[in-house]
Order: sequence, then structure tokens, then C-alpha cells
Amino acid sequence: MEDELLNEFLNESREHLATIETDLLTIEEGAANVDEDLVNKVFRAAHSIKGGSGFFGLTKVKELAHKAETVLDMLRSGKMVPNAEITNVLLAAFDKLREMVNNVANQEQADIADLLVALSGLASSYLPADQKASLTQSVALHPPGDGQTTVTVPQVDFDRARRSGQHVYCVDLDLIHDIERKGRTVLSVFRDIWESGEILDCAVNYVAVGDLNSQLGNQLPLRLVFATIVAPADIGVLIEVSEEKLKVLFDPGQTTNPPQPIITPVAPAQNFAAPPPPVPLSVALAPPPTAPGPATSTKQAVSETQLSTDTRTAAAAGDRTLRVNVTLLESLMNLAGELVLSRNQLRAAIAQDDDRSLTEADQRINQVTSELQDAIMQTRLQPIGTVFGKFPRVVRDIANALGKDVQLDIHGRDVALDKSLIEGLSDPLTHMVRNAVDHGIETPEERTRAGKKSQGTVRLEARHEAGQIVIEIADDGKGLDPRKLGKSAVKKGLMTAEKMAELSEQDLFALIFLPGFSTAEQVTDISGRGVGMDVVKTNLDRLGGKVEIHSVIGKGALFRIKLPLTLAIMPSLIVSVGRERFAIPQVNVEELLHINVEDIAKRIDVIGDAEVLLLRDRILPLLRFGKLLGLASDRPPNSELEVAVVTTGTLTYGLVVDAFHDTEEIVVKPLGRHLKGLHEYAGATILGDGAVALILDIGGVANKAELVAVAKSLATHTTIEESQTTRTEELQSLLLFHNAPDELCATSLASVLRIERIKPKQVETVAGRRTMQYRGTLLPLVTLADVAQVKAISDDSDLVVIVTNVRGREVGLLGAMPVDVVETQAAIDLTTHRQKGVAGSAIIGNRIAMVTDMFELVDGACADWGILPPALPEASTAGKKFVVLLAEDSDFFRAQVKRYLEEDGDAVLDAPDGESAWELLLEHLDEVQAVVTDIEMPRLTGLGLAQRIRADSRTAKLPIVGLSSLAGEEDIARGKAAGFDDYQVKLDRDQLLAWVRIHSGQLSASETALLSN
Amino acid sequence: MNGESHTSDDALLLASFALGDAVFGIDAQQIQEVAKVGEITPVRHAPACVIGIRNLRGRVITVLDLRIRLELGSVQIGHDSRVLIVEGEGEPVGLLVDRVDDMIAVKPKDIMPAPPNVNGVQNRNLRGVFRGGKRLVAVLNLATVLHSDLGQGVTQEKLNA
Repeated sequence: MEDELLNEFLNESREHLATIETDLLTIEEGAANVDEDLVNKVFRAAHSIKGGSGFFGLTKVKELAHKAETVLDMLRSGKMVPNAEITNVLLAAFDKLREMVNNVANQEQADIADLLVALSGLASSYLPADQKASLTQSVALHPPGDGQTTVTVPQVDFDRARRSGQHVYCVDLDLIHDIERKGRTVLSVFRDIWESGEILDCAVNYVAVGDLNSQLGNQLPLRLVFATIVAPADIGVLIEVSEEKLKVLFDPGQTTNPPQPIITPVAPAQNFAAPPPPVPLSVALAPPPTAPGPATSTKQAVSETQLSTDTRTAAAAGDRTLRVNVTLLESLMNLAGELVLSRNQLRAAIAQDDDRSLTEADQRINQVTSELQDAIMQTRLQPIGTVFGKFPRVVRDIANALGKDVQLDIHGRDVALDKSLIEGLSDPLTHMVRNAVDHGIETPEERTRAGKKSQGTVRLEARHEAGQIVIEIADDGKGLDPRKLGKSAVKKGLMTAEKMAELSEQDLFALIFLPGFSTAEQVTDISGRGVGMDVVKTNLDRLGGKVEIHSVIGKGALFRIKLPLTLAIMPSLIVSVGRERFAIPQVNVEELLHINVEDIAKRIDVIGDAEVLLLRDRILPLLRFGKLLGLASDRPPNSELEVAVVTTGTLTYGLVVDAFHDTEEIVVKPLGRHLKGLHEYAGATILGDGAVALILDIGGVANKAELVAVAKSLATHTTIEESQTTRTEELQSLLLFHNAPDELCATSLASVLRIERIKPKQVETVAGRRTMQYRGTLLPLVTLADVAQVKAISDDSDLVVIVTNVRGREVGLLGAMPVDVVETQAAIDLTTHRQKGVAGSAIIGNRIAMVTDMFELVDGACADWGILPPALPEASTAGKKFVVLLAEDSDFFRAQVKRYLEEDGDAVLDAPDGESAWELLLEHLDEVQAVVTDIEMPRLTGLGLAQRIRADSRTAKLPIVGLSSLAGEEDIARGKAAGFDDYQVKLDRDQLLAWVRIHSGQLSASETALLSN
Repeated sequence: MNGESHTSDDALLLASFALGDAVFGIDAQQIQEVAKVGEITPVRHAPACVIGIRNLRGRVITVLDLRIRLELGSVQIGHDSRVLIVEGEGEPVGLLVDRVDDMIAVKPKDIMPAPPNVNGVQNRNLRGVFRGGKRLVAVLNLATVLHSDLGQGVTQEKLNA
């Protein structure tokens, strides 16, 4: 029994210790904002270890736990503010405790002297001089009327009990009669006491044995000194013991409250017949005048009670026990019920010797068993937070050791994985996180020199993605140098220089996974522990995982681990082609379309030999899944179509199937290794009827169908976008509004005059023209749907009118609330969503916004309204075009302006920055007749370009117009000073064209004045 | 040799089965169970010998047509066809055969090397040939039969290419 108890105690201690690290680090982070609950939790852990170890005679453990407890109490009471030093000492102390707990047999030999000194030093350095002595002193307590018994407890502990208004008791228990025979264990008694107080001391008491003169051999006396808020009258709640064995050593209420009877008045014991007189304690023990009132003490006690329960539940999540979701447990219960029913069915069938019922029973049992197995497997799912939890410490320790400043961001702690995966991930992840801090992040000095924030960041993230678990370890450090890796591999004779030259960047990165690969400068104390990335790779391979590496020199590195979801549950859409069913993860499904025969011609088009789907404003590749699989479709050709619009996030396409079925929560099963090479499947699942269906990997299917080209160009596009945003590109102000509720639109704020909220009835439609009365005139209204293939604005939406000036006339664009103004650096994609009235699209906060082209819109919608452009003289003659040099870094604006100019008959040479514009100009000295330039550009600004042009005799006379979205007086003055002839707001097409025409001699100044009235 | 068979110590228990006219055998200890063919879900684009996947009490297992694997035509699924569930590299795999025969206790020394004129694919996958009385049983080497050429480490391959 002793061993069992000891094991129980040790397990419990391990569980306590498992979470302490994270808690301590969190406490340190909070600094002065002490998270009292958390400190309490850690305190409780130390305390229960102390209590138990006292009982089991683990003196060293007890001593260390006690000192740690003292320090924690000072944190708790605010005498100490958490800092790195305190945390270091505490972490070391708990590490040592863990070590001792794991090796109790040798705990006596453990060297804890240094830690004890450090802990005492900490405690004493934060105490006022007159209280320092309390750390080492003990106080002697005597139960009233009992001269024989003297109990000494450390003064710190006693002070704490007194502060919380607790009673201090001493009880002599008989382990056999009072505990074991009552079906309890010492630990359970301890736990009850911990609910409401603390155990101050506990020891097998041989003095007491002498007092109890009978049945010596049949008794195991234990003396327990504890503090609790429970009053003597109610002590039976905690511990059932005859009252003569219980002695009150200290009663906090006795000075202010009327004396109370101890235990029950029914059988008053001799010693305690009268209410206890004032406790004759040593002088130091007189309760301070400001003894806590009952209210505060109760409150504190309550919060402590809750805490200790919390701690215990948290501990239950440890190694030996598993938390299971109640719903899951219920479904297990239901399945067990089903199983019983099926058994009865089977018995009946056997009794009646009925083949058909037998088959039915067989099927039923088969299904129930499968489901039961699934449900049981699910109980093994654990949050990855259990692994992530140790990394704050790892990162902190390494960063400290290397003198680096590293912040660790953790995301996705709740992502659940199979227990075995969690265990298998622990080592590889630790290694990779270490690497990130050790090799990735530079020292603060290096970082500052490189123009980075001195604090580095390591990001750890887990998430579900396309039927896999993705774990990323990213740092913003110096990144991997593929060529350096390659050279190192050549030097080590792992490959030839020729071969290295053939390798792609990805392949070069992958070199680090080769056994024996480690660049000389990589070996350090921290990471060079003989475990290389090859071991990481081997471990991950064993789990069926893949690693990708992405890195930009100087920017950082990203390791992405993809693990198969062996047990995950995914809501999925079940579709079928022919007789076969497939599951598409719901996360990949955007929408489902049913296209009638008569609509096919309208909705499906052919570009080259590829079918495309026209979906509102989008053109999506269309993939006939049956054809891809070589499956005969059930449907006759040219019949109606069922299209699932699916997306991988970067690529969206239409997948034609024969039929849609239900959406089911499916359990993902891995495919066997013979099928590992098939990237179109993410796994398989067992459907409700027991049949197996393959789960589609939407990205893999696209690759298989060679939509890959599209995907790739999209990917390149993204990289360009990304690299652009990192440039110092100027912010564009966009006004966001809605067309249909799910259609977000944007227009350049520079072109907006006013925004008015209106009621639908204000819109007057006369002869097909929409207008509204506005400031005494009729304002023509247009909507995006007038020109573009978008949804119509619904009548019940909250309408707004965006008033703009197009060719000197005010026009209102009807939109719907909500509207917003954003400043964004987002690049505007000029192709994907381009259509009449829509210049392109931009991604604003994860949503796609269509950027309107007001000129096209107005031209298209109001062609017969008389707001047409004034009849300009026929632009340039066929032979000789007016050549304009255009410098603009924003792809969107550059393309827009270029289009205006070209539509107007000019030739445009365009450059993405001032420097390349200058080079272009030098190449075409004889041709360029005017310069249109943006102001803010990388490499050389518009102002710089203008100065250069003016400074060079060959170009000094060129007309220059500056375009900017910011045109304050000051800007204009600076522009003029730099040499601009004119300064215009971006995207004012008519102004710009007029300017160009003046300078190309096609328009007189008076005509221009007319134009831009 | 696992000492669990009920025959004499050095005997090997072979489960024999038919692929077309030929009789093959594998170590019976390696067979977890013999199942009816059941409902097999085909997997498009899979290697030819994979006829599909199947639900085996909640696990999804790959089923190989052993005849296609050994280049002996293909199994015509019929009344006698069975799937042998065997363990390969830690996962169960089903082997579709035309018919399951019986158990034969053989002494390992009676297993002769396969004659050289046996087809390359079959030869590579044979442990040897057992001849008992008038019976000739080709004893398969399960490890090579189940070996998959897919899914090897890409990096290493490329480097050694």
C-alpha cells in the first residue's frame, strides 16, 4: 500500500511539475501585473509536493519545495515583483524537484544546497530587515491546556496562515484506524485539507505512540499540523477523528470573535470542554491588530479552493490520464448501446436460424464496430498545445544563453492531433525551434546593423489545411543561404560541384536534411548536440510528415511540416461521378452551382482547348472530374451540369461532377503506402453505409489536371505582390463599399467628392435612367451592374451615393453600406477581375475588392446622357504618335494611365521607378516628348527624376507632369521647384489627356480650359 | 522461425492459394486473416496492381491484385476469390487471389531455389519452390511482393541521380 501511495504521490507531483514551467514564464511576462491565480496555482503545486514529501520522508524534496513555496508566497502577496532572476531560480528549483521526483530513491544524494541558498537569498533580499529573521525562525505552538504537546512550525508558514485568517490544528491520526479503515488514503486527506488550507508539517509521530497505550502493533500514528479556514466546529468535513486527537494551535477569531466550542458539543472532551482560552503562544505570535476580517479571509479561501480544483483538473490532462470530450463519451455510450442491440439481434437470428436476419445482424455489428473503433480512436486526440507549451522555456533559455532577444509567438495550440503524433513531434520540433533561435535569429547588434528590430521573432503555428496538419516554425532571422549550403555539401564530398549547379533552391535547402551535413559555423553548444536535421527528417518521415523550407536571405526562414491527418474529422461534401463517391473537404468548397442546359452556353466557354466557367465577374478553369479520372459519366453529354466551385486558397476552379450528396463529418483515414504517390487524394474515409470513399486533395487534383500552370503563375504573382508590399510603396486610399452584400468594391478616394446616404425612394427611375435630386439639380446615378457582370444592388440594402466628377459633371455611383476608407499598399491585380467598369481587384483584409473604373462606368452607363467626352480633335495621325515617358511604381496606376494615353492615341514608354525611367529616357532621347511621373517611387523619386531631366541639357526642355494622390500646396511647391510643369491628382484622366494634348500641340490652351472647367 | 506452429519445430506452415493454374504459398504466420472480397473502391491513377481500397473493420486497406503484381494476368473476381490480409511494413495490405487452398507443413530445407526460367518478376518475388508429392508450390517472398516503389525520399534520389 505504501508503494502504491508513493507512486500516486509521485505521479501527482509530476503532473504538477509538468505545467509549472509555462506558468512561471507567464508570471515573469506579467511582471508587476501579477496573475494571482497563476501564482496561486504554482504555489499550490509546490505546496502539495512539500506536503506529500514530508509524509514519505523525502526530506530533501520537502526542504526544496518549502523554500520555493516561500518565494512563491512572496510573489503572491506582492512582496516580490517577478523578474528574470526570480524566474531563473524558481525554474532551476522546479527542475531539481522534477529530477528528484523522478529518482526518489536517490533524492537524499541530491545536491540542493546552492538552490536553497539562492531561494533563501531571494526571499530575504525582498524582506524588510526586521522580518528577515522570520525566514529561518520557527515558532512553537501549544494547544491550549496541553503543556506536553509542542509543535514547531516555520514562522513564514505560520505568518501566512495567520494572514489568511486560518486556524492551525495539530491532529494525531492513526493511519490504520482513522484513515485506511475509513476507506481513505493519506493523500486524499491531504487533498481535502489543501482545498481549504495548507499542511504545515506531517510526520509519523513516535511520541504519540507512547501516549496511546493499547494495541501498539496495530497502529501507525501520524501527526499532522495543518492550517485551514475551516472552523473547529466543522473540522469533521475535512477529517473524521475523535476530538481528543485534534488540538487547536491557533484560532484567528479568538481575539475578535466570541469564543466558539470546538468540535461537537455532544461529547465534550476533557481538555476542550470549555471554549479555548486565548492561545498562550510565544510573543511573536500575537495576532496583529490589523488581523484580516472574516470577509476577506473567506474570499481568499474561496479563491484558493477553486484554484486547487483547477490545478487538479489541469494535472489530470497529464500523461497517465486523458481528457475526453463529453459528447464523444456520450457517443461511445450510444454505440455501446447499439452494440448490445445488435448482439440481441444476432442471438435472435441464431435462435431462429434465419439467414436474412443473420446477415442484417452481421452488417449492423460490422458498422457499429467500425464506428465504435473510430470513436475510441478519437479519444486519443490531444491538443498540440501540450508540445508547444514547453517552447517558451526553450526559447527563453537559449536566447538568454546566446545573448539574443527573441519573442515567441504561438498560434493554434488547440489543433488536435493523435497522441502518438504529439509524442513523435516533440523532439523534431524542439530541435527546429532551437535551430531557429540559435542559427536563425541574429544577435541584437547584428539585427540593428541590418536595419531590423533588435528583438527577433520565432513563430510557431499549427493549423488544419487541406486535410493535413500544417506546423510552421518561422523566424525573421538571417535565413538560409542556398549557395552556401551547396558549397558546404560539395566540400564535404556529399556531391559534385556540377550536380550542385543543377539543383534548385528547394533542393539546396533540402541538403540540411542529409546525414553528416552541418556547416562548420553551425556547430554550437545549443544545437550541435549530435542531433542533426537528418534525425529530424527521419522522425518526421516516420510520422508520415513532409518538410518544406522557404527562406529569403536576410529576412528569415520558414520550415513547414505537413502531417497526414490520421484521425481528424473533417466536414466534407460527398459527390459522385458514375458509381463512385468522393469527399471534398468543406473548407475547399466555395459554392455549388447547378447549370441548366439552356444556360450552359452562357456560363461555360472555351478558351483554346480549355473550358472555363463564367461566374459573375470571374473566369474560372473548369475541370470535368470524370474525364480526369477516366470514368464514364452517368449523364448524357450536353446535359445539365453540377459544378462545385472549389479553392485551394490560391487557385479556384470549377469541378464538374455527376451529383452532390450530403455533407458529412468524415473521419480521415490514411491511404496505404502503395498509394502515397497519388497527390490527388488526401486520404480515404468510410461512409455511413460502410463503403470507402476517397477524399480529394483539391490542389492535387488541379495539379493532376495540369491547372498547375495557372496555379504557378498565380503563385508568382503573389510573390511579386509580396515583394512589392515590402517596398516603400506609397499608400493608396481606397473607398470601400458594397455592391451586392457579398461583392466588395473599391474606388480611389482621390476621385470621390462626397458620399451621401440615401433612401431607396430617393432614386427616381425615368425612362430607364436613374437619377436623384441633389442640391437642386438632377444627379445621374450609375451602378456597377449597369456595365459590369455583377449582381444588381438589392432594393432593401442601405444605399449610399458616391459622388464623383467625371468630365466636369457630377455623377453618383450607387453602392450599399457598409462603406469604409482604407489606406492600403495592396497591389491591384489588373487581370483576374478585369472587365468593363472594373479596373481590377485588390485584396483588402482577406477579401477581394473590385476596383471600379469610373470613366468606363460612366461611358458605358451614360453613353446617351450627354456626359460623353467633349468631341476632341482626332488624336494623333496614324504615322507619328506622341511619345510619353511614364514613370509609376504602382502596377495599377501605371496600367491605368498607360491605357488612357494609349486609347487616346499616344505611345507610352513605361518604367516602374525613376531610375529605370531615366535609363529609358536616355535610350529614347530622340523620341520622348513628354514625361508623366509619379512622385513616390523606389530607387529614384519623381522629384529626383525631374531634377535630373532639368539638369541635363539634352532633356531640360521636356514637359513634365507630376501625378500624385497627395497634392497639398506644399507638395505642389516642391514639385514646381524640382522642375514639374504641372502637378495633377492621379487618375484624373481628362486633365491628364488635356495636358498631354497641349504639349503635343493638338489642343489649344483655350480648349483645355474648356475641358477642365 | 516463430515457434508457434503446431507442427514440428523446424516446419514451416504454408498457406497455399491459386493464381490461375499456378499454386503459390506464403508463410501462414504472415496472414492475419482471409476475407471475402467485399466492396472495393477503385483508386484511379494508382499503380496497376492496386485494384482499390477496402474497409476492414474501420481501417482502410489497399488491395493488390496478386496476379497483376506477378504479371500473371488478373484475378477475375468470383465466388472463390479471397483477399488475404497480410502485414507489410506496419500496415495491413490485402492480396486478391483466385482461390485459397489449404495449409501445407513444409521443412525449410525442402524449399528449392526457383528455376532460372521463371519470369523475372515472379523470380524476384519468390523465396523458392516447394515440391511435395505431386504438388509444386511457389513460395512467395512477402517483403518483395509488398514492396512499393513509390514514396521514397526525394532529396536523396535527386542527389544520387
